[in-house]
Amino acid sequence: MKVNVIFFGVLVDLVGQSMLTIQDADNIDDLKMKLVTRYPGLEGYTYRMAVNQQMIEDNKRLFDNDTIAMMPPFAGG
Amino acid sequence: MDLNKQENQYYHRQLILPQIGKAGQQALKKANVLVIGAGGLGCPVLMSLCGVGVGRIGIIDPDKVTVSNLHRQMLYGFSQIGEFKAEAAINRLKDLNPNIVLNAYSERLSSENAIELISQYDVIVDATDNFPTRYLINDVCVYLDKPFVLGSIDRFQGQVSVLNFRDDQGNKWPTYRCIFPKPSAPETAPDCSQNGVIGVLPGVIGNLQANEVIKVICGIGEVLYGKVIIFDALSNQIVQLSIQRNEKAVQQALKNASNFKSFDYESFCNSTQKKINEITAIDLHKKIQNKEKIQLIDVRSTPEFQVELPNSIHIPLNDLQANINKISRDGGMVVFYCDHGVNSAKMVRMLHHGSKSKNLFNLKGGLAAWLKIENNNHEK
Repeated sequence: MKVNVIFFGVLVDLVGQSMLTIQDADNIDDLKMKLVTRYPGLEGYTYRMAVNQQMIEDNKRLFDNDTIAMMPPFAGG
Repeated sequence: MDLNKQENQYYHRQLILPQIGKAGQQALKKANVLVIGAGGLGCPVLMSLCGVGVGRIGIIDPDKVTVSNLHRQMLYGFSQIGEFKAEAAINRLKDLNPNIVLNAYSERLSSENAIELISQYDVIVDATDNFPTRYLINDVCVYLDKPFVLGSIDRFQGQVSVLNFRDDQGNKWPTYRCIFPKPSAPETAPDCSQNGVIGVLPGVIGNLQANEVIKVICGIGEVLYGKVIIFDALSNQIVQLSIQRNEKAVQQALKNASNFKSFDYESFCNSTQKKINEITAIDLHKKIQNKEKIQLIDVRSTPEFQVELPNSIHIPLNDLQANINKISRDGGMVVFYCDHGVNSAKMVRMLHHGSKSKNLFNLKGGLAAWLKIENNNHEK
């Protein structure tokens, strides 16, 4: 099972690309752990996650081919 | 509110749209909109709202026009450099549409003036470039029950949403705190002066904001509440995410708004940042005049201001490790600086991981603050 993760703003710099495929993440907490292990800097950032374009409040089960968006706030104007 | 002969001509192309028509034009003429920030986003918002015929537009911005604004802030030209943006904007907009009322406020929106000012307007546009003001706008709009249209940008991407909207059934929709209950650490969310921005991006995002204001006023189309869009200028992708109202986050705003005048939004937004030593431009100026021994380190790689402090050495932020031995180790004061004091603060933070850093200082506000003092001294 795999999920697609898309990144926005400063998170693209941190990860080095705007999209990643992650294998075997059963739920959001699991996915976050896998991402933080790979990109330890991620812990210092503020961002919201959306699963299939729906912003989520808590942990959530993930299914094959789900798309997870990670959106930080933007400061500029 | 009838339209005069000139207005009928001026607005002809939109009057013939069935979605606007005479009723829509009259609604626009009756409307009061406050645009907070007259920079990258504020300029296109103002031009579009002025052209569409919003009856009264307020513009608040404490800044003056600088040369680095001109590539994207199209209300201004070289002849306005040094003028207050709010005043310069009005001079241009008056000529664009003399049938509307324009009010300029050349001051910073603060917890002191926000309630009084925002309560005079129906729709608020957040076109600011910093988090303290964004949270302040959110909290006052929640407190006063006003909708506000968020716009924010980062290099090639922008976000837009209509927040704190109340629909026809009286349902209340998400606020900024429902998306981001807590502010980002400042070093993880740089603004355009540090991170850069492509000139057309605020044009796109600002016009999307103006479009939402028009829809809110005229009651047409689908207003962008309950969702946020992210536009990417490089890929042309627009991603739309649904967001939910979070009453706990909304209550946080209400609590702040009622005790507002004592709430410090600056420190609220800086509270997640690691503390470092900082020196103000005034204090550094005195120390240099007194010929105190200070090592000055310029961390810029692409300077905005074509000046540097006397006897500085250069250590670009991305080249710290190769140059680390150039930093004085005799325990004397070392001051790092850049254009606005953000990248130099980053460098001081990076060096804080090691020990013996009590002598390392960041120049607060950077060369921008330094140049203000020099200008004041010249004026005296």
